[in-house]
Amino acid sequence: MKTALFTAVLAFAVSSFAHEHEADSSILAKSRIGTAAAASLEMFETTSNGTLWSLTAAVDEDEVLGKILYVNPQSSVHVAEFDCHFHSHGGREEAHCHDGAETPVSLQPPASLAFDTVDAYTDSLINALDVFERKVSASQNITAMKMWQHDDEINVSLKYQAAQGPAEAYFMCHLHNGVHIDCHRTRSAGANEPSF
Amino acid sequence: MRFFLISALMCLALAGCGGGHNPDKAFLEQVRSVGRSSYFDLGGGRGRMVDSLDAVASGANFEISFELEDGGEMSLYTFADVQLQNGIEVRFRREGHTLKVTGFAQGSSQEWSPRFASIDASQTITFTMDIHNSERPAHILVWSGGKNPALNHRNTIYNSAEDSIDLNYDNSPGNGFGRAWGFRTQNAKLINAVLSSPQDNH
Repeated sequence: MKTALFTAVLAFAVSSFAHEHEADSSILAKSRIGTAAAASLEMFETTSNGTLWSLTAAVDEDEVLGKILYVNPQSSVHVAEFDCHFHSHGGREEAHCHDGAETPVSLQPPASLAFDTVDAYTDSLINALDVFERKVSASQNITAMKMWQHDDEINVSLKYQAAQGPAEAYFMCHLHNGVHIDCHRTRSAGANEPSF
Repeated sequence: MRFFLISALMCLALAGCGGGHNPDKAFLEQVRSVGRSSYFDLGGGRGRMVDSLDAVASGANFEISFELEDGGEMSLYTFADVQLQNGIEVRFRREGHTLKVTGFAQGSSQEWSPRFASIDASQTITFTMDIHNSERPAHILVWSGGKNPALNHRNTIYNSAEDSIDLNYDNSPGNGFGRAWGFRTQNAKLINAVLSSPQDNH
């Protein structure tokens, strides 16, 4: 994510997460938001040496556009944009993501970021989608998502198209027994949501 | 003469022990059994189980079986003090074939009955319940039936982390502040109550 515009064209199969995460990661492949978010997280882990603070992704016609907010080792905050398009491969849709413009932003970094790897974000998204599918709606109805960490929690907001119109579902994810990520539905978005 | 007096006093003292109150005996007389567990009879249909929870900030599983007369109630108290106060109470009440379920903690009560609509309250009822009191507020999961390896957070009948929003609550009602657990019955019969380690690790 540190490099110039559109230097990488990366293809990630969601199945590559299957061996790393306890929850069923196949749920990521059920929505373009899930597929693109997983691919962008993998891309960030591979190419950046910063610590992830927040991630957004939104469906835009046939693409998913997103931004990653991170704190670099010098404690300055940056936003890296990405866009993903989709190809069918072996009966499965894969996200091909490009990293785009990267700009510093005038946000004060949090005093600490408890989750310093992208795995916690991926696990949180998997768990939030699992609850969303069982209790709220089909994940294909998701139009946008945002994740950010605050204290010892990762907050997940999912915008989706409900029968009665646009709606939003919120989740608070935390480490359970220091091992497993567990997501609880909440009535509102979590605290200290960064705007960028 | 002095020796005689001391001996006489000792004999009187020993005789007093033999015919007086024995606190150990009274203690044991309060112990009753239910299914595979034992409890102290607190009177008024209340019982505190002999075993206790490992720690206040911990998780535990409770498997309970009971029968309710129409209008009868059975309460399970967990993470409570020895008087079964300041804990988490789950109260089951039968109204015909319908089961009314209410959760209590920290002065709040929550109506969970819609999640239990499939339960026939006129039959013997068995629930398996996880309470993770190490979370704030406690994470409560309830399954229909006995404890078995197939139970997980996806097949609960009630899961505070997932169902509270639909019941118009933020989360579970709160936490418990003790290590005791027990029950209260009113026109109800508790058949079994077993404490074990949590079923679900979420």
